[in-house]
Amino acid sequence: MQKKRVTCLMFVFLLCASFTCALFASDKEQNPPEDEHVEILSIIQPFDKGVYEEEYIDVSIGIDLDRVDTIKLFSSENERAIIRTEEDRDVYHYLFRFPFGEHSIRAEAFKNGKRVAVRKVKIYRRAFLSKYYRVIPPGFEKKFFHNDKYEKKCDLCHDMSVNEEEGVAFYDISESNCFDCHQSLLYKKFAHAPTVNFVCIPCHNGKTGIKNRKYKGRSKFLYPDPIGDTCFKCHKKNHKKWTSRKNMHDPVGAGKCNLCHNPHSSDVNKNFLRERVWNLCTSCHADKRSKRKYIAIFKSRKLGGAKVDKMFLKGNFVCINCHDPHSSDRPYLLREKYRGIENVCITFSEGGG
Amino acid sequence: MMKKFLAALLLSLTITGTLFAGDTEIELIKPYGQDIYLTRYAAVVLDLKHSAANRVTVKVGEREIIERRIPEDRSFFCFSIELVEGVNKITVEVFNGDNELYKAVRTVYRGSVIDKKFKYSTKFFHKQFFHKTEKEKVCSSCHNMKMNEEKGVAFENITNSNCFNCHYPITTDKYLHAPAANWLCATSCHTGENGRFNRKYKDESKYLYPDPIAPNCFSCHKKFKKKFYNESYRHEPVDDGRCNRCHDPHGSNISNKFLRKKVWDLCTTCHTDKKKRGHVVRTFSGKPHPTKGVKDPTSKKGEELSCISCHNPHVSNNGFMLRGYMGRGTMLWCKRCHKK
Repeated sequence: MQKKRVTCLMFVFLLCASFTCALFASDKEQNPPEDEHVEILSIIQPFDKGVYEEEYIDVSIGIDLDRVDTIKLFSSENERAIIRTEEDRDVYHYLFRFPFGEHSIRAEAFKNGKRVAVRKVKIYRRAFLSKYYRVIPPGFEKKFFHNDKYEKKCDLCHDMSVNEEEGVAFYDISESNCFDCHQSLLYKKFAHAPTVNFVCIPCHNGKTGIKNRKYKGRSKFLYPDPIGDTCFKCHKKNHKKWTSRKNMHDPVGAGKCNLCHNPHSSDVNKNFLRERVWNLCTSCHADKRSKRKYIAIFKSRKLGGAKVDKMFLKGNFVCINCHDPHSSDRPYLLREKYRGIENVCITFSEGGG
Repeated sequence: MMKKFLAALLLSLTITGTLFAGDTEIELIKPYGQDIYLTRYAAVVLDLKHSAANRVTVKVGEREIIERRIPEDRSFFCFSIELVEGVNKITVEVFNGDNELYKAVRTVYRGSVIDKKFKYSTKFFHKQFFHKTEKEKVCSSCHNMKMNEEKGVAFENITNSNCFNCHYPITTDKYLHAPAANWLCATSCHTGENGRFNRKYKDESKYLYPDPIAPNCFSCHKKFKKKFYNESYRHEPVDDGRCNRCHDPHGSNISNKFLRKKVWDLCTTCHTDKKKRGHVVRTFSGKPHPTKGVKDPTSKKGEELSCISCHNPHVSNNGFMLRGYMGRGTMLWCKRCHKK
């Protein structure tokens, strides 16, 4: 009887001690170093309420290996992925593809078939052109990964330094330190030479232009916006040609090449357009979206009309057949080769554009 | 031998004859012809070469004839005419009494900065500049062609400015921009530098202005520089730095913001789709939401409703450049006027 009491007391005492110990410990760990504290499940990338521009978004998930054996990923686009954890690896990647707009990604962690943690992030994929997706909804903002604060998280596996020389392409692009994380830029059909060779620094030189001055110092690999002057470093011939002409398309003059062209890669055509030509033009020139434009063309068949008709019926008649998208010496940015076209279109009057 | 001599004599005579004839003939120096003007007024400059001319008539297009008397003993005569947008055919005739001494026809193009119809000229016309050292020599006998302003110092009497003599029609507008009203031309905007948009005109004129002009504007309007580049969305011309798209930097008859047109007309010159199609919403009755012609409920001064009642023409932190806080639902936006 006495023995039992003693053990009981001992037990209570131990419990108390452990409690106080735990309390003290928690008091001491007021400012714990972040690296040691391992969350059961965390979405490292993309940032919550962040704004993204590329189609493919890499989702990086950090886990506590002891407590998780399966990760399930869900996107608001009904994509899902199941990742089984491996030994000695606590960060996993999965690539999601998103259209424009607001999306969410949900990560769930399982241990022995039981759900132990859920994390959710909301992201916004912004469009350069489309009026409706150019607007970032309230609460979302551009967030940058490549600064000292966040780069630490990936230090263990990835070399976060720059290993390219100016003007020297890699023998094997996988040698590039950028390749590991950003290879999704090459998943499209056509790609820009600097992207293919993973020579990123000529554009992403960390400098800022007049339009993104407020982001100064937020990222190591910012690009100067407007990007025009950077493009014209290589495309010297085009610069000479366009600036010598009389009339320039507004984005060309302002150096906003990246408004229509995706500087990395594109599925559309070899000029890396962001959309197909007609859709691209009419996303700004919304008044040309109606059919009136074509109806007007048929009115005079004499001069250029027949030619235009033929093309139109074939189905490959687009804006840039008549208009030069960059610059021209002629009114309405018309191309040089169609001499009689201004007599064909009568939409020059008001309202029709 | 004799024949050769005679032929030579004849030739020399004819040459001298033509030379002398050329010397006494009246010449129209400006407008050059085939050139583009962006301002409302153009100068007509006649080199009379001390001939007996006493009357000059100018006809611009189909408009009524302008007649000017020439004072005696003038070797040069100059005055300004008003141009219309588009192609202007200028016919200049010089008379002595009823005798026609000289007639010249020149076509010039008055381009518009925003109006699509007149924004682009044909290849026939091209920009020509006057203020070059060689060309200025013609006028230097009467006019002082040097720049006589100091930066930041206004003239006590604006007629002292050397620019005033020829460019005075600019000040005929109702509302005037301070630098234009004080004739501080070369020190504020017409610095002779060139920008991204007019790099091809480099060194063509002493008084070019850099296009985009924004950096020059922001040197005085500092408050806007800070504001414009901190908010999320910018109107395309603001983004490009083309303040002079909508604002006339000299002056305007329409508003004290020096707008080139009335607000609704100005906006719809580019946004043509908002001209005819119903904007915002089309109700069941078939009537679209008005964009002009009614009173603006949010305005304290009781101004007319226009595009800028809802949209900020420069910058905004909300989508679609809406003024004030939009919030998540666009319907909240309607509550600004429709309070019930």
